Amino acid sequence: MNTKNKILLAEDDRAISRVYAGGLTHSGFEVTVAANGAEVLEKIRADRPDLVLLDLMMPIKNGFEVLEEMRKDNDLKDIPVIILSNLGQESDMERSKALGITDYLVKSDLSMKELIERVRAHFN
Amino acid sequence: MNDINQELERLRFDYEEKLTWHKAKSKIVEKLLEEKIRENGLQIQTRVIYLENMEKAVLNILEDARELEKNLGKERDRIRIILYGIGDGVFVVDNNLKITLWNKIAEEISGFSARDVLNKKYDEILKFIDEKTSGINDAFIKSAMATGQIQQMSSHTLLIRKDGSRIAIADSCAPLKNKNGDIIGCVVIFRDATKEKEIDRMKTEFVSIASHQLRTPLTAIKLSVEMLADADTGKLNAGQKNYLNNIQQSAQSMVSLVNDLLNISRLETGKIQLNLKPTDLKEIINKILKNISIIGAAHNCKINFNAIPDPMPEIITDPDLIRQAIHNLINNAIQYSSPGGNLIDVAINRAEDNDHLIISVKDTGIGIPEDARKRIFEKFFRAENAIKAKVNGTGLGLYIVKMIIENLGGNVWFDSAIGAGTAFYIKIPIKSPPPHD
Repeated sequence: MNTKNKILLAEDDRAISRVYAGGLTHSGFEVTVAANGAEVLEKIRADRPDLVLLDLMMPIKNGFEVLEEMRKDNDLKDIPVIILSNLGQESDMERSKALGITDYLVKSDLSMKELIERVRAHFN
Repeated sequence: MNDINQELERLRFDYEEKLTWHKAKSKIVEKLLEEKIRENGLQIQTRVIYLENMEKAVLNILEDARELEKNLGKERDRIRIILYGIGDGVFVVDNNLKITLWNKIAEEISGFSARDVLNKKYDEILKFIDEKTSGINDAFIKSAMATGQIQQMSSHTLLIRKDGSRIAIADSCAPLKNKNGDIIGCVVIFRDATKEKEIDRMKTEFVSIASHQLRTPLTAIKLSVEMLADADTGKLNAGQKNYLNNIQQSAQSMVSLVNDLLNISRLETGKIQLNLKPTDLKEIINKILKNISIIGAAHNCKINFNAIPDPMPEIITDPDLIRQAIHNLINNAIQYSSPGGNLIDVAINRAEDNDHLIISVKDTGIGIPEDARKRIFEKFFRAENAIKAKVNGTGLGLYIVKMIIENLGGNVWFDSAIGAGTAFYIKIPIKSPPPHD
């Protein structure tokens, strides 16, 4: 019996969020969305997803702040995180790697197909 | 008795003769004297008149000279007043580098009064420094004095004010020459450039922010197009596929433009961190050629890559940046190729000085028209024949190449002939780190 893998998608742009959520759902994942940093933390605590797709630029709390809080919380620190970034800045990559992430993807270069591949690869 | 009378008579006769002779002589002498006196008198008179005339002439000249001096004095005062009152800072430096004029605005901008600086060597009081390195940067003065040509201050020049604070300044130094063309000093004009630097920075920041903001909706468009084209969402008819294609191409154009603009704004603010490391140019070019081969074939272009120096020196540069620059040149060569077959030659050669490599991209394309040559590296500039060739271009490619190569400490130039083709050359240092602006 295969319960679907739960993904929390943190993305503040509604259009992108809709496409990602749609594509991932279609590929067999259970997707919850959050549109700002505070909402992300709320939903992680409530749902305990198997994977978090985390946008870096979000209102209220940005991706780094969410990551830092997750790492400080014993309940949350082991939840895997894949970063979805707008830019490919080396400094951002370094900073997120230091906070322990599974993967770092740059949205502007990322096709839906590739996103799904990477997420699948993570679960295998 | 007769003898004595005769003797007396003879003596008298003698005497009278002598007397007459003397009288005559006296008369002649008198006459001569008179004449001599008259002559001398005339000469003296003439002399006196001559001297009087000379005196008048000298007095006139003296008066003219005084008049001239007064006018020159007025002129010099006028120039001093003008220089002093010019709305920019002005100072004049003589052959010994001592400051001989210091105007009001110079005082205001720098905080140093005329008394602080006059007659002192300028480099004892005025420190012009480079904004990036904080090192002394008054080469523009020394250069103007040495070369006899106007020098612009480099765009990152700061002046340390009397109170220690720093102020951004801009402008130039012009040498002063005497009648013989010898350099006798120079005049430096400078202004407070803080506002203009701020405006410049805001412009670049605006472009950067706008471009970032554009990325998100562009990403959404690309993703949506991808999903529409996916059979799972639903099958498309030919018309729908067509329009979808349009959207995809337009979105891709926008993405390229946004990327270019972001690149430029980073290059312009110097925010780009140069990632200098040993770079294999051969590999970079081969990769570019591989990626561009489809487009090249579509335009009927055959690309040769050779003339590689053997052994190939290892160069220290930023591989991402140099790749971008070379890619832009090769892409241009393909996009602006002549209809029909085209030959593109890419080559790497050592420069004569052995410290640089020259990368050349030569094509047999449409060429760059004469009136466009001066502007071809300008932001957004496109030559008429490029527009007529219906190539989708932003006019940013060469600007980016120029900015990148300058950031890497090299330079770029070209040769071209209409209808025959163009050759672009990039010269970059092999090992030395790029110098600051």
